[in-house]
Amino acid sequence: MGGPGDNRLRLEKQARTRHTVLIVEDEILVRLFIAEHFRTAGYEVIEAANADEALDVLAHISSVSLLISDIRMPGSIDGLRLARIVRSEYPTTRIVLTSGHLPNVDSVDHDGFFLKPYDARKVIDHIKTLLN
Amino acid sequence: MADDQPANQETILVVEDDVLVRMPIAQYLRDCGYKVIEAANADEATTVLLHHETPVDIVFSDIDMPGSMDGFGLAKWIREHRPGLDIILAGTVPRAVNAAKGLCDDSPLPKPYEPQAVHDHIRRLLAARKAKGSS
Repeated sequence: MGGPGDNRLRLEKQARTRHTVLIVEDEILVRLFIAEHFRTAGYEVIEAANADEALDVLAHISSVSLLISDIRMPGSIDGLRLARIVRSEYPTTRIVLTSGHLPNVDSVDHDGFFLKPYDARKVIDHIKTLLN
Repeated sequence: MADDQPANQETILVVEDDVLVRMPIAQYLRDCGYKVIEAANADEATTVLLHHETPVDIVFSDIDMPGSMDGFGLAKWIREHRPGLDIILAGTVPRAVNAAKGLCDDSPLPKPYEPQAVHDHIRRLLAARKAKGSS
């Protein structure tokens, strides 16, 4: 019977056949809403509640195609700093940022920005173009 | 929300603060056919139970979690606010495992657990609830 390690290997295998999207969002109801939309659209979805969790996931799952992250989050780093780290450490991972306010997103290299509340379908359409 | 899910799909709320533990068990349970909601702590879990539109059938929670409540606190909250909702606890601390008696119907699962053991627990609770409902 497979243990958690086997599960991780299985996730890695799945990630090779389907795009894996890592959602980073501290608001649980927003996170599960967008995660549900992405799963329905056929993506493998990993949910992280803050940037620290996201970095933990990225350190263990090598095939994350895209990171979609809120900017304002509690924890040791916010979404902008997370984006900078991901761009530097995982340069093939696409980065989409979201926020409830208009921050200076031009200070960081990214592949899209959506102001909250956003239309999940528009985000998915954008991500499809990024990943194809 | 997903509108192609079967109407009778049961929903499991997984509460675990370690993303590298939460992610594989959540994915395993999705592969078993459940709708799975992931919460990173007890506060997120209570938010889901109070405000999310999907009714939760079973809560599977870690015991040792940071935040305003640990797994015991969450179990007590559920007993008070959602009586009848089944909760399965999982933990590594023997003291915690003893203290959990009385808060949930089954003994807590010792961590690290096999995903299959979690699924067996869930199936048993769902079957017992169905039997109770039809009697």
